[in-house]
Amino acid sequence: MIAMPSHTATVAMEVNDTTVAAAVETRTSLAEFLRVQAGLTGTKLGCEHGVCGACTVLVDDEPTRGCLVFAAQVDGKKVRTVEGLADGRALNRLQQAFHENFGLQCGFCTGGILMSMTSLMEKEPNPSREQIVEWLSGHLCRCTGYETIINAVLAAVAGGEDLR
Amino acid sequence: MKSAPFAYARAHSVEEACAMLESDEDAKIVAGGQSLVPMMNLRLAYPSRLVDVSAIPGLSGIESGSDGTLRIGALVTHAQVEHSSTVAEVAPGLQEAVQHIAHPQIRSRGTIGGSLCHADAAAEWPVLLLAYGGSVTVQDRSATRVILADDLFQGVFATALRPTELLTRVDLPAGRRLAFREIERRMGDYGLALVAATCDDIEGPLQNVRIAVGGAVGVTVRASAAEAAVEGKRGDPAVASEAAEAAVRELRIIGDANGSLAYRRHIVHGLVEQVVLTLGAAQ
Repeated sequence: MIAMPSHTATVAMEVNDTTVAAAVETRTSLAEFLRVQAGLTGTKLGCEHGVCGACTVLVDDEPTRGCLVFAAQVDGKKVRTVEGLADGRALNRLQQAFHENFGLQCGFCTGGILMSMTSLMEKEPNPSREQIVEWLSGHLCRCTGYETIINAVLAAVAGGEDLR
Repeated sequence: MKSAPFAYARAHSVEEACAMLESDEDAKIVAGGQSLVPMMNLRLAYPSRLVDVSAIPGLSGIESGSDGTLRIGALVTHAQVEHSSTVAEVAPGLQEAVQHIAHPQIRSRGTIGGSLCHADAAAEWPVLLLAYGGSVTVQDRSATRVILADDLFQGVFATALRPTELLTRVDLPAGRRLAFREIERRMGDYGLALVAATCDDIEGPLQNVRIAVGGAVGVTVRASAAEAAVEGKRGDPAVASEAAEAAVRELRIIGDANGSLAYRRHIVHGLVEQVVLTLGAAQ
């Protein structure tokens, strides 16, 4: 008699400085874990094969597709999502710049884009337009045509390094 | 959609990972998962178990050996290669090529070892490894062996690794000049065709030329007739054109929904010509 392998895993991770622990199916993606177990629905699942970028979050400060990593793989790691950017209801400067420059319309892609751009600005405080475009290439937006997003990031960059 | 169910285990040593592979023939290794997880989500792959090797010590890090050989741990991400000062020093041009791999958000997790084991003919690492004439080190529970790039790619998504072996290291030889070109429809897409070429980085005619082609072929391959057309010559326009003709004659180029056969031949021709001219321009 062969023991059936377990298809569940107990996962604990730090999400926006709060520990979230749950027993989940091993096939639970990080994005689903964030939405269901952590209750943080700013991270969206779009294509679920790494193309659209809507699920992008930061894992140990690295931009990561939430659909291409299982929650079990993130056990013990630190995750940052779009919910961690604002201070209460006060948007941070990058978010404010998206607001002021019409960098979003329906908002489905925005959480992922904000996390990618946060990572870009942490690695490269003064990114060029070309670098912004390269990082934005990992995201699909069907509303804006991208130009307003680029303008928003450039406006945030012009405001200096501290995004608070 | 959601992947089919699977068991998951984190391995803490190469031996432990290999033992897990031995005990379950439908197990798959996962490191970054940037090729495997999309296949699972699309239900193109149904592994019974994922053996997560990402926490195994000793499989990361980039070093340059005493003879200059670049030794890249299997767990090194594309982004780590892209930003490594060692790579910038000993393998000029490699970082520009690596920037063609998907997007920054994928390069941050995808690994060199995973990409080579996945052996997608439209991916960059197989073409680069083959053009450099590098090798990979693989291990199972009882032995370690080295597989040369020329022997690694055996078929469509198929390598010379046995099911119980784990790729641990990638070696790229020193002193090679690299030229790389890729045609992709959008930034970050898989290449419709990609060509890498290397030669000895010395003055004068091009020596020990290697040209590898991916994207427009089912399996990453060398264009040996094109190499022969260039060997010992200067990379001038006449030689480049001869090499390009030889490449489209010798290769089994395929067309699909993303590009017809005629178009693929046209771009392989153009890319081979360009890489030879690039090697020549530096001589």
